[in-house]
Amino acid sequence: MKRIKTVIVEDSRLARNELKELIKNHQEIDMVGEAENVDDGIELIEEVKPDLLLLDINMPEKDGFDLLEMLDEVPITVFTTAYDEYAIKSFEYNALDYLLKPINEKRFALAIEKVMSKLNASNNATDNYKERLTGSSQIFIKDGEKCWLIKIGDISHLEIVGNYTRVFFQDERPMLYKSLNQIEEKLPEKYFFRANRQQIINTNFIQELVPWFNGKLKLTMHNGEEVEVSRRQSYLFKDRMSL
Amino acid sequence: MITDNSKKEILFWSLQFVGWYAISSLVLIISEFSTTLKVYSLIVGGIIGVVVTSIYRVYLKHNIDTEVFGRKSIIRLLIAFLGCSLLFYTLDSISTEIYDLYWTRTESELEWIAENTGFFYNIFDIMVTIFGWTMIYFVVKFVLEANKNNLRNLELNATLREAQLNTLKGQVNPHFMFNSLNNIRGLMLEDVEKSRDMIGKLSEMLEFAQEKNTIDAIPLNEELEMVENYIALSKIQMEDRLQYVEDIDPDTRNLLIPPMIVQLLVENAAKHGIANIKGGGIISLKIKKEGQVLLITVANTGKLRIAKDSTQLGIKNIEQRLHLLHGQKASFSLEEIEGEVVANIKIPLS
Repeated sequence: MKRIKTVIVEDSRLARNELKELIKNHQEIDMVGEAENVDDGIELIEEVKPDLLLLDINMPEKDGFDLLEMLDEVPITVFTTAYDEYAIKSFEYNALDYLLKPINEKRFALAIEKVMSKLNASNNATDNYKERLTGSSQIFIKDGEKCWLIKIGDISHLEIVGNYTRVFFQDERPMLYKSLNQIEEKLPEKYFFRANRQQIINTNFIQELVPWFNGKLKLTMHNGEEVEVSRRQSYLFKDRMSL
Repeated sequence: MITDNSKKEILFWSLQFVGWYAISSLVLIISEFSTTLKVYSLIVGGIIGVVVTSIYRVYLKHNIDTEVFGRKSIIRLLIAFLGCSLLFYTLDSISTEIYDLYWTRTESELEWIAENTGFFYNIFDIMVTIFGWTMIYFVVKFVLEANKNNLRNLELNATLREAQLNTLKGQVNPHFMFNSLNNIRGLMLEDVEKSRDMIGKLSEMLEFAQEKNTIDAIPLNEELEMVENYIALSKIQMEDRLQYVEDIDPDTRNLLIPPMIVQLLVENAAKHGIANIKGGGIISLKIKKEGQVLLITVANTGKLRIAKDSTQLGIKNIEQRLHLLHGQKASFSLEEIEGEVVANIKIPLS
């Protein structure tokens, strides 16, 4: 059985002890490290690349959401927090998993079960040819009060808005506080394509493709958005897609 | 407050002009008068009425305290009343002289004036009118004040309820409670005795919030016990990051203070101050008597920054409660001094 490489980021020592006590009952969990603040947490996560992150929200200076925003790739995350209206509200919009302190053992076991099946699913996907096309790694976006954990493969396209980037996926379009160029470097090249200076598209989400004037291409995405591919990029695109 | 006053002013001046010109326009129905006299009386009469009673009002406003209406006030009012009537009479006479200088009266006018003693031509009529004005003035004033008092009472009740709600919501807020329970659970793994102690403190805090949130004043001692409980519980969360220093003048320990105020300040210092600093910091509480004033100072390491999402309910709550209980004599301030956030409260003793 695969073991779950786990990291705890939590400012209270006693709360960390309490978590470790809960973990003791779970042979499948492999505790690889703990941190008491966000900065140490990021260093740790980037070093050990855990499968699972048990993350507190309220921490000094930077909170749990800040941590996720700073990570390029987010491990499966389970929030651990004491009841807090504000924090709970930001979960309600999304399907992030969270545990309320004091954590009930049954509830903890359930969360770990979920993590396990999620991990297995993405492991299978790794062996799958499809994985090359749909990145299963997640990114975290917090825009205003809403939070999302998005699979890279679910993003249909990205667009420059000032210094930031708007991410289109499903029916949502939150803002990511990074530049499009910064994001481009991290995106899997296989199916993300720079259509023009403003936009990057996920080629899996192209609905329709029409030759446009001046050797350009016009694409219609699954969600109905139209994207014009610049001339230079159109050549590249045709080449890549062997059109 | 400003809008309240300007509303009052608008009301006063509209009543003033409408009233005086309504009275002055009575002259229009005297068919014996020439148009010139009618117009002159209407305009000048109105002006005199407005000017004289406006001066009268200024005097009343500054010299008659309607809240303590004693013998002195009555005498002052009487003098003002007589002075006002006299001024009116004088101006009225002057205006008549001026009219006579420029225009000649017709026969019918002279007849009418001879027959009627002449409204506004004798001081008695003037006094009756000024008396009427005075009555209306005070009736309107009392009605407005009664309204304002009603509003104030409503506001007081609302703030009190909010304060009560807040003490429940804010004091042992669920986040703090669950966090504490979780920490105690962790603590049990290493120190059962201390865990037992902490559960005791937590339940004391809950009990306190339940009991005291309807009371106006409690001995400082009781409040300090809660503060100590709060600090002890915060310390199992923040451990060495939180340090607490107390300097309490023993003479103040039995003084009565509004409940939950010191507690709220200490909680703010912990929540918005120390909890946000990685390396932690110090909360210090100083309480002393200075003459007839109780001085409470809560300071914490950190910067004073008001979070975007903060409603500042806690601070508003403190300000309002102090103000309602002690009026302008109590004060509250929150400022940043040399890397410390310092909250100061002054409560009058009496």
